[in-house]
Parts: sequence; C-alpha cells; structure tokens
Amino acid sequence: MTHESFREFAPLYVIGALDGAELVEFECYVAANRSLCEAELKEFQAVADQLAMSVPQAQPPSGVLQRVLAAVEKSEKPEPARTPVAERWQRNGFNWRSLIFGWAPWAAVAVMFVLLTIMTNQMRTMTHRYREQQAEGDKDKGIQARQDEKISQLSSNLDAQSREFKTQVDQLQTDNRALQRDTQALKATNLKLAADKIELMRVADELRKQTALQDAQLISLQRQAGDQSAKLEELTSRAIRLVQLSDPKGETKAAASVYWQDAKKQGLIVVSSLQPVVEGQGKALELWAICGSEPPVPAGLFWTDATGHGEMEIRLSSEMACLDKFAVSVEPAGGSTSPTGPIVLVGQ
Amino acid sequence: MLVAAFDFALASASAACYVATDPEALRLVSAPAPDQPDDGTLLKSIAGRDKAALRSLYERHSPILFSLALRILGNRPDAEDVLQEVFIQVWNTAGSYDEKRAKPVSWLILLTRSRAIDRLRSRQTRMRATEAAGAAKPDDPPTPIQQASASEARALVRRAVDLLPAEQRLLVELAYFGGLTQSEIAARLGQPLGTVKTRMRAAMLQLREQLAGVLREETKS
Repeated sequence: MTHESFREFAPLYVIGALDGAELVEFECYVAANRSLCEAELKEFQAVADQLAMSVPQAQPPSGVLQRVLAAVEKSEKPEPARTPVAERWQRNGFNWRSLIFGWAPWAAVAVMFVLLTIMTNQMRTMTHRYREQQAEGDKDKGIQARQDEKISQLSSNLDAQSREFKTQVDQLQTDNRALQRDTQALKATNLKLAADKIELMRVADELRKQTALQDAQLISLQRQAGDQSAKLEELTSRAIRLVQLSDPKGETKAAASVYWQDAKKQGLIVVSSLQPVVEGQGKALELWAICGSEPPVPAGLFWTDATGHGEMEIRLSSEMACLDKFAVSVEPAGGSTSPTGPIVLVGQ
Repeated sequence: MLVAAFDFALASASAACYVATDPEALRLVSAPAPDQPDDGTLLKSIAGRDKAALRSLYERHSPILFSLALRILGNRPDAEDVLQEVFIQVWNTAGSYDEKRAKPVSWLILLTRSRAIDRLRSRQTRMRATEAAGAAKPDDPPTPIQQASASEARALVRRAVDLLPAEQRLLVELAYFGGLTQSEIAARLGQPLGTVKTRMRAAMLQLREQLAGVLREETKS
C-alpha cells in the first residue's frame, strides 16, 4: 500500500466502512508507518468524533453510574500487605553480632531480597496481565454469552426446521402416493382413450365413405333438381295454361292436369287415380285435342302404372288453329285416328 | 425509510451562511474547569485505581457516549448496558490507553461505538433500531428543549452533516451508526462498490473542510 492509498482509505477506516483485504492492508501499513500516519489518522478520527458528538443529547439514568461503581468495587481485590525490610529491622532490632558472625544468613537475606524484588516485579507484571486478561475475560464472557445465545437460537431454529422438514417429507410421501394412484388411473384412462380413438377412426372412415356416397347422390339430386326446376319454371311460366280434366260421368275420382304452352304447342299431362291402363296389356290411353266443332286430333298415347298414375309430354302440330278441350279415351294399344273407346277424362 | 432512520434533524436555517464567532461555542466537549484535571490525567488516575477519577470521567462524558449508543441501538436499555460496559472496560484497561494514538474522548467514543455495533449485530436489532431512530422525520424541526440544550457547535456539526448530498449522508450514517462496511452497504443499496467508496470519501472530506473551525477548537482543548 502506498501513502496515497492510505489517504484514500483513512476517511473510510475511521467510520468503520473499510473491510476485507483493504482493511488488513491499511492496518498493516499504519502499524509499520505509525509516525507517518498518526497525525492524518487523528485528523479524520476527529471528524468521525464530530459525528458521534452531533447526535441529540440524552442523559443516562443515574443508576448506570451506580452499577459501574458497584461492578468496579466487586472486581477490586485487596492486595496482601507487604512489610518492608527496614521495618522488620526496626521492629526486630539491628544485630551487629549476627552481622559479624552470621554473614551466611545475611547473604541469604540479600539473595532473598533480590529474589523478592524479582518476584515483586513479576507479580506486578502478572497482576497487570491478570487485569488485562480479566478485561479480555469480561469481553470473552460477553462473546461467550452471545455465542451461547446464538447457539441456542440456532438449535431452536434447527429443531423447528427439522420438524418442518419431517412434516414436508410426510406431506411429500402422501402426495407421492396420491400421484401414483393418479398415474395408474391416468394410464387406464389412456388405454381406454386409445381404444376409443381407434373406434372413432373406424367410424370416421365409415362416415367419410358415406359422405362421399352422399356427395355423389347429392350431385345427382342437384342435377335432377335442376332439371325439375327447369320443368317447373317452364310449367309455371305465364305462357303455360293449366287445364283440369275429370271423369265426364263423375263416377270416379280420376283426374288429370294438362300444363299447356300455346306458343310452342307443347305441354304435359299428368293423370292420377285412373283405372290403370298398363302398357303391354293391349290397351292404351289416347289424348285428344279438340278445337271448336272440329274433329278431335290425336295428341299421343300413354299408359299408367299400377296405381293409375301416368305422364306424357304433348306435342301438337303448329298448324292446329285453336285448342279448346282435352279428352282421354281408352283405345287399342296402337291407338286410333278418332276416339273409339270410352272417354275417361275430359276438360277445357 | 433508511434515510428517515438516520435522522440528523436540524434547524432549517442554512448552514452555508453560518458563522460561529465565539471559540468556546465551537467546543463539543466542555473544557474542564481550571481546578479540574483533564481527561488524560483522569485516565492515569483511573489506571491507579482511583474511583473518584472514574466518577469524574463518567460525569463528564456519559451524556455523549450514552447518546451515541442510543443513536446506534435505538433503545435505552441497550444503550445503558453499553455505557456500563464501556466504563467498566475503562476501569480495567485505562493503563493500556496510549495518549499518542488518540485523544481520551476519541478512545471513549471508539469503545462505545464498537460495543454498540457489536450488540447491534449480535442481537440483530438493526431493523428495530432503524425503525426506532426513524420515528422522527428528517425535516422535523428540533423541539424547544432540544434547541435549548443543543450547543452552538453541535448545531453546526449537524448542519454540516445535513449539508451533505443525501446519498453521501446516507452512506456515512449507514457506516458509522449502522455498523455496515462498504461492501455491505454496496450490497444493501445495490450500488457499485467503487461508487460507495467515492461518495463516502467525498462526504468525509467535505465534513473535514466544513468543520475545520470546530476541529481546531477541539484540538486546542
């Protein structure tokens, strides 16, 4: 560390902000360059002191001083009284005889005095160390108490966490069993769904075939509908005249409708409820077109089905002057030039 | 909230225009009366097991040390315990005090702050202290009692601190009163470490410059 770095760190050091390697480097540098750093460090320490002394003032309760003095009193231990050698001499008297004749005891006393001096110094040193250790001990006790408190708290936390962990494990095991049951149920459901899917695919295939067939039928029906629509349009146009035919005797419910288009001299006859005249049985129904008193003009042969229903397109010569009536008679299979059989339907 | 917690509630007058004319008013710690021993002498007497000296030192400095502990810890019982521990430590270690390294009051402040920060950390009362200290808003004016009791020098120091840019003031207070190191502050505020260092250094240099008068008087005393 350079002195420039020291100056950078000093303001941070005095407010306790320095940490890590920078703190170690700083303290080592100060220890090694005490005389160089002392004044500047004191200067910043004084700034930090101002921070401390600027807080709003509060008076401590008087009990604190009493507690301090009580603690100090308790820590004080009376030192054993020492009797100086001179006092002992004065008290016991100075014996020249022993000085002259007893040099050995005197020498022993001298040695003892030296030893006593050394021991006293050592005692003082030890007392000083003892006080320092006592101070450290107080601090250590405080630290120990705090550590005990922390350990106790950590132990409580550990127990609580252990209980919580066991609860969580139990819950997880319960959840796991439930999940296994759910998984089995899901597998069964999955198999059933697979079977259903195969069946559905088969049904869908069938439906596709039916749809294709129905599409074909629909196209055919649409074509027929188109034809029918054309016919219907033709039949229902204003140029088409509807002529109703019925039994001239009124004995049967036989009826016919002739849709007639004068402009084209064309039409369509539809009969129903007629006594059946089926083709191939030697008879035929012949339609006659009648204009005023003119003889009937043959307009075509047709037959019915077994129910008495029949249809026929009518085409007349454009030379026919007028058309007042239609009539239907039963004729031989090859038809006649004029009516020979009974008239079964007539209308105008 | 953090800013509010570190309350240097000051009078609204601008410190920039403040000029202290009375040198005595610039002393934060009252100088001992002529017939009273100074702090250094008291400490030497305490080292010689003089309880009266301990009492004198206590009576002279306990308000400042108690206030500092209260500011850091946020509650009186803890602050009382710290004050008691500090003076017992003074009694036991006064012999090891080195006058060359720090003034007596600096040493006492150092002991008090260290013990208070230790207690703050060990009891994890940081949040409680923060909330307690934050009860007063930064802009709250001092009460009449505070105004009456605050010395001119103390007000000057407070104003000097209040004049710091808010972000610098917060960093200094988090370090000194909150016991947080630069790395802890950077992590807590989500600021780059370099920025934290630069701002704290700038704040301390500004304080040193603005408090030059106070510091000179303190040095004389």
